[in-house]
Order: sequence, then structure tokens, then C-alpha cells
Amino acid sequence: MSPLTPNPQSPIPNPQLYACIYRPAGREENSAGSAGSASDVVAIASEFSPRYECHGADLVSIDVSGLERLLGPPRVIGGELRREAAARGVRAHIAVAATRMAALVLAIARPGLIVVPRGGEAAALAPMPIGVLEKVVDDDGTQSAQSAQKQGDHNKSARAAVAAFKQWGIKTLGELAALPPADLAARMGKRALAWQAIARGEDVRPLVPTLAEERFEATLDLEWPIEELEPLSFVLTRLLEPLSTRLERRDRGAAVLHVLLRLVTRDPSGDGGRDVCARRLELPTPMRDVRTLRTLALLDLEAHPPGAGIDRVTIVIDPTPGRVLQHTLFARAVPTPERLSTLVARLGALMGPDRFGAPARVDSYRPGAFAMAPFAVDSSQDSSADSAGSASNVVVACESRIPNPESPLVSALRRCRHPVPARVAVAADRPVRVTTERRGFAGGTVIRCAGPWRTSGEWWMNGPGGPGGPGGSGGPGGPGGSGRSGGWVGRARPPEIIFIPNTVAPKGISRRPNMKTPGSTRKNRTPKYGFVPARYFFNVPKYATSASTSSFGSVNAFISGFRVAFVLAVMPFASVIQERISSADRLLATPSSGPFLLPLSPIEWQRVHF
Amino acid sequence: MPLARADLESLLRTRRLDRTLTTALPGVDPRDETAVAPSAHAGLDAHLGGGLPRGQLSEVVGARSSGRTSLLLQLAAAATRRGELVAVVDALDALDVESAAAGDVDLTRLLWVRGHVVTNPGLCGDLNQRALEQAIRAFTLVLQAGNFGLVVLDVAEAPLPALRRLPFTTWLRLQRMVEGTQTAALLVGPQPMARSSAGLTLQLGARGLGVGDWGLERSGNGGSRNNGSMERLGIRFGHSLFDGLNVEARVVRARAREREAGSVTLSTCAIDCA
Repeated sequence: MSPLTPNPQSPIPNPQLYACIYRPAGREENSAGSAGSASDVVAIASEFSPRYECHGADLVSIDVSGLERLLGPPRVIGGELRREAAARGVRAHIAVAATRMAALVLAIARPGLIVVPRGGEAAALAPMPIGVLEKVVDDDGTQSAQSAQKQGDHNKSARAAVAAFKQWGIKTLGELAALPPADLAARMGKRALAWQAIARGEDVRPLVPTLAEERFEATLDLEWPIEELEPLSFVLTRLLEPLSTRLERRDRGAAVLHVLLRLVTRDPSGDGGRDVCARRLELPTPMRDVRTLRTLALLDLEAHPPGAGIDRVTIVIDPTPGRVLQHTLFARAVPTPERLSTLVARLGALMGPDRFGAPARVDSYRPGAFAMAPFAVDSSQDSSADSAGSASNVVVACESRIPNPESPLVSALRRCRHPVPARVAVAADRPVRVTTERRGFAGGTVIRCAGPWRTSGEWWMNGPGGPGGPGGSGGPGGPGGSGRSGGWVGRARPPEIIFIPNTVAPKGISRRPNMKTPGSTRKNRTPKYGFVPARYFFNVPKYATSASTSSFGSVNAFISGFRVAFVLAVMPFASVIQERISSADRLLATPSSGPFLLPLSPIEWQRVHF
Repeated sequence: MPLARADLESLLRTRRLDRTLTTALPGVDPRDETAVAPSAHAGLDAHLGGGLPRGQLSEVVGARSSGRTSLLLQLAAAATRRGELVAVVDALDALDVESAAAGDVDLTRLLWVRGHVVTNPGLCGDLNQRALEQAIRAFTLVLQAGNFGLVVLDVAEAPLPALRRLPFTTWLRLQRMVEGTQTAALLVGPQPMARSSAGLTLQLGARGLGVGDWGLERSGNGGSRNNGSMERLGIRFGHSLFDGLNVEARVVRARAREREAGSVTLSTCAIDCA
């Protein structure tokens, strides 16, 4: 006989054989008198096959294909299941059939052990009451928060369908299976076809094995402590690689990465406990790339270094379902989440966490107000935005985006986020010259000016006709604050446009005593313009705290500091001279070398000769 | 005896070293958005040959108030409108968010990296130098991440001595990083620095005054000027308020182009007028 010819005598089983265990509601007692737990049903299933699906706390379907070679025919398999359940004190309904749905319905409807021969599923289910459909659970087996909601919706629809069937006079599953499918779907919808398939004992979906909760954790004890990040990088790689493989097998991604470092510190209490440096990284998107995870962990440890050497490294990953990404041909390429998260981490380490991001406008009247939002790229939104969901919508969207190609550019401003102190020369209450000592800014003659108008401080008290008009605010230049302000254009080399709010000198300080009006002769050595730079600085408290008050920015202050330093340097010289002079009167021995005479004891030669 | 240019090019082709010759490079289709990053301004795009070349380091240079920032925001707005990501490495933290929003820049697609500014370093002048180097490092990181449509390094407010102290290889290294990518890298500064052969250098200046020629005028007692001088400075006023600039843009360096082949006038409009 050829090895490829099947032997009719050989009991090669049909590969599909399912068993279902259902524990009806009610308190169950084992031989010891204690109630059974919901996990007993799962434990019974796991004893026979690793492929089992939990439909609830009391219902499990098992794929027992292949057990016929081990245990025997389906009736023997069912008997073994019943014996195991009895040993655990669980009173359960057990059904064995060639389809999972038939076994499930029979286990729910009939007590005891039921074994259905192959091909007899429809006949076995025909006499079942129609109400059993309300108890049939047919979710997709995913353990997620949504499954509970889907279960509720399924139960509601099942009750409604059963009520409708009963109204039609259908009492058994056989009568439901005998209905014409097209007419049934026309009246009840597509869902009715699934009910009809259940009534015939046909599987509407394959068995989805329930996997036990798996903990993604890896630990490595080091032979000697490490104190630098470079050797730690190798350790992290070694721990992350198997974790990444396990995540990939389970189609999971890392949502949170925990890095636990046991430090080599002296234990003051003596109870054996050691300090542990625990870092928690929340990842922006589920990922399992080893390189990216290692880079993020190292960047975080670089910003928050442990205080001592490390002799144990533990990595724990909180898994989450992997992200489903469908690439399109017509969407713009964006940085992958792994690269983006790495970029964000590196920028945070380089610039600081608050120095980068997506700018956002805020609802504020303060000039230059803004907020920094985290920069993120949602690739799903990008792909969905570019997908052709509706041609008309796409056309309208494109038309709204295209600007007028001949429209002028918007005059953009640049902001000096640190105020630039400026000196303004005023003549007849109009600014005529603006100067500043800030490096990089040039002053000059005011060519044109407008204003003043109020841009801050009690603007809400005045009506529309009052101050608070447009323009003038929000430009670089002087400090903000209450008061009058305006915009001026200064001329310098080259011409620059500078908006300087609040540079008008406060009232009463606009003129020095005995100051002449503009146009007086230079012989009187009075300033041509009525500006008082020194008093202006002192009259504005803000400048007192400005960084521009550094002595290095003022020549006079520098000279005064130099004089103080000169005095301090002269003092030791003077003391040395005094010492040398006075030593002659006291006939004390003095060292032969100077000028800095240290209070040392005289040498032998001096003691002999003096 | 110096070789003639044609002899030199043929010699390079023989040795297969002609890939850097501008005549050997294929022409760029101005309508191909994968080759150029248009600015959405018809006149400017026509002058630039479609837009900024992708995969190259280009420059926009000019003095203060010459329209550099306005042009920068125009390019950023066009890029975000196309669905691209834009990164602006602001070396001295001078970007105005209101101006960016008024310029129709999609702020959610804008990555803004703000440099650290030292207001008055005094004798410690190297603090701003360090800020500049830090900005260049951030610029490098963004280029390495890739897939940004436009990446800008804004050093317009940086002091010239600090810029001159940067080694010239810095720009060569950045040019190498962006080659072969779809990213259009842009450098905004006071004067040309990178001088990339394949990139584009656009110089801005006040219209009518000549690019780079700021011609001094003797001032009297100050006060307002007539409209003629204002127009000569490229500044427009409306009802005594600033209305906008008239900027002249000229390409001073571009691949396979004649130097100073004309210019284009750009008009800017104040935010309240937009």
C-alpha cells in the first residue's frame, strides 16, 4: 500500500471536534462542601487542550481535535471531561460535536453528557426550544472593554429576535432552520442568517483561543555594578530583545515601559532592602522596536541618572494591542511614531522639555500670548484625510485650501521675548529719536510715528471710540505694561521697522530744570531734545530687575568696579611696606625676599646676624 | 596652462566624476512637487523655477525688515497646506505665533524649537555662540528624523561674529544630511553662509533701493518723511499706520542659472489688512 493512500482501517479522525462545558447558574458544591469557582471551568478545559475559548465565567468551548488518538472516540472524551468536572466538584453540562456551535447550544440546552455524531448536528438541534438563542454567546472572544458592550447589544438583539420568532409561531430551532434564508433576511436583516446558521449547528466563526495573561518582564542580575550608561545600553538591549519577540508573537505593543534599577547603596536599616531607581516611560504610540525603546530609556536615564551603581536591571512592559496601520499611496509620508518619539526625546534632552512643540494661540489680549502643545502626528488622521471617501468632499476641501496665488504676503513680526530697553527722545510730545544699548539693535531718527493709543491696562473701560485701536501692539522692542504706546518707524542703517510700546517718558519727567526749548544754541550745552535717559531708567521699576543692569554693560560701572579692585590690590602692598619699615624699629628679622611678605619665622642666618 | 572649461568637464566625464556638474544634472520640472517645494506665490515660484529645491539646503538672506520672516511664513503656510510637516528651529526664539497664524500656517503641523536667548551676555559673548550651536544640533536632529516637508533654521537675529565663527563644514554637513530626501532645508540669515551649489540663495531687500544697497540719507531734525522716501525704502503707510513692505527678491545663487537673472517684487500686508 502506498504511504499516500489512506488506510480505511486506520482510525484517522476528522480534525474538527469540539467540546463545550457549561455550568448552569446556581451554587455548586464539591465533595468537600465548598462552592466551585468560575476558574474551575477554565481549569478543566486547560487540562484537555490549550485551545479553548471562554465565553463567560460558566461557558467554555474546547477544541479537542486530536484527542481521539489519545483518549478514544468522542464519547470517551466526553466521559473524561465529566469525570474531571466531578473531581473538581463542578456540576456541568458537557456536549461533544463536530461543530463548535452545535456543542455550545447542546451544552446550554441539555444537562448531562451529549455526544452528537458527525453530520447529525442539525438533527440534534432541531427539537431545541427557540429560547435557547438568547443564551448563546457569539462574541469574537477579544478581551477588551468593548466586548462587554458588544455582549450587551448581542443579548438585546437576541431577545428581540426570539420574540419576533415566537410571534411568527416558531418554537424550535428546526423550524427556524427550515425558513427560506432570503425571506428571513429580508424581514430580519443579515443578523437573522446568523441565527439560522446557529439553529442548524453551523459555525459562523472559528474558535478564537483564549490566551492566559502574560507578563512581559525580564530581569538580569549583574556580576559587578555598572555606573555608566554605555554598559547599561548593552544590558537593556539584551533584556528588550526577547520581550520584543514575545510582544510580536502576541501582536502587542508596549504602552508603558518600566525600568527598575537596583542600586548599590548601603542599607541603613539592615533588613536587606536596597534602593531602586524606578523610571516610567509612557510611550506616545504602541511600539516594540528594540532600538527605539532602548534609546528612549537611555535618554530618560541620562536626564534622570541613578544616584549609585546598578547591580540588577528589570524591565516591565505594559502591553497594549498593536496599532493597525494601513499605508496608502497617496498620503504624505510622515515620521514614524518610533522616529518621532525618538526625536521628541532627543530634543527634550537637548533643549529642555518646554522649549519645543506645536505653538497654539490662546484667547488672551496680552500681546504675543501663546502656548506650547505637544507635537504629535496622527498618521491615521492623515491617511483618512487623504482617502477618497467622497469625491465631492475632496474637491471642496482642495478648493478651500488653495489660496490666491497673487495675494500679498502677510507682514510677519519677530518678537524680542526679553524686553529691549530703549531711550526715546521726545520733542513736543512726539518721539524723535530712539536709541538702545542692546547689541544687535540700532537706533536712529524717527521718520514717522502714529499714536499714542492704549493697548493694555483698562482697555475694557473705554468704548469703541476710545483707545485700544489696532496696530501698534505686539511688536518687538520695549517692555509692555500699562500706559500709552504707539508705533514708530525708525531709520538706521539699514532702515528698520521697530514697534516700541510704552517708551514715552512718564509725565513730569520730560524736561530737566533750566532746559531750553529745542533749537537753542549748542553753546549753552543744553541737550537739543528733551530727554532724560538717566532718570527714565530709574523711574521705570522694571528696568531695575532687567538683565541690562549688569555692570559689564555700562562703562561707568565698570570703571567704578575697577577702582574698587585697585584699592583691594593696593592694600597688601601697603601692609608689606609698613611691615618692612616697622621691622627696622623693632629690630625684627625679616625675610630677604618681597614684596609679599608672609608671616614666617626668621631663618637661622637672620637669627645670627640680626 | 589652465584647461578650458569644456576640456575640464570632458575630463571629469571620462573619469566619471561629473555627477557634481550642474550641466550634467537633470532639469527640474517646476510643476513636480516631489522635486520642488512651491511657495504658493505665482510670481515667486516662477522666479524660483517652481519653488525651493527638495533635498537641498537653500538660503533666504537679507537685512532686518527685508521680508525674510514674511517669506518664511509664506513657505511654511504653503507646506502645511499641502499636508506636509514643517519644523522651524528658532535659534533666538523670535517667532511670532500671531503672525504665523495670520499667515495661514497650520500650527498643528508646525514643530517649533525655541533656542535659549541670553539678553546681555556682556563679556560672556560665547553664550550666544553656544545657543547657535545648540540650534544647529537641533536642526540636525530634525533632519535625521526625516519626512518633514520643510525644515528651517532661523538665525536671522544671530550676531554676525557668532555666525562667522561657525566652521564652514557645518553647512556642508547639513547639505549632506538633506541630500536625497524630500525635505527642503532652508536657512534664514543676514547674509549668505551655506553657499550650496545645488541649493538656492534668495536675497531680499527693499524695492527701489537695490538689494544690499541701503544708501544713507542725511537726516534733518527728524520727524516724518514724505511718501516718496517711504516708497523708496519699500515701506507703505496707510492712514499713518504701517501697511506693508515692498520687497525685492533676487536669486543670487541657483543651480544652472545665470547670476542675478532678474528679480521679483513681493508685497507684504500688515496683519490687520490681510
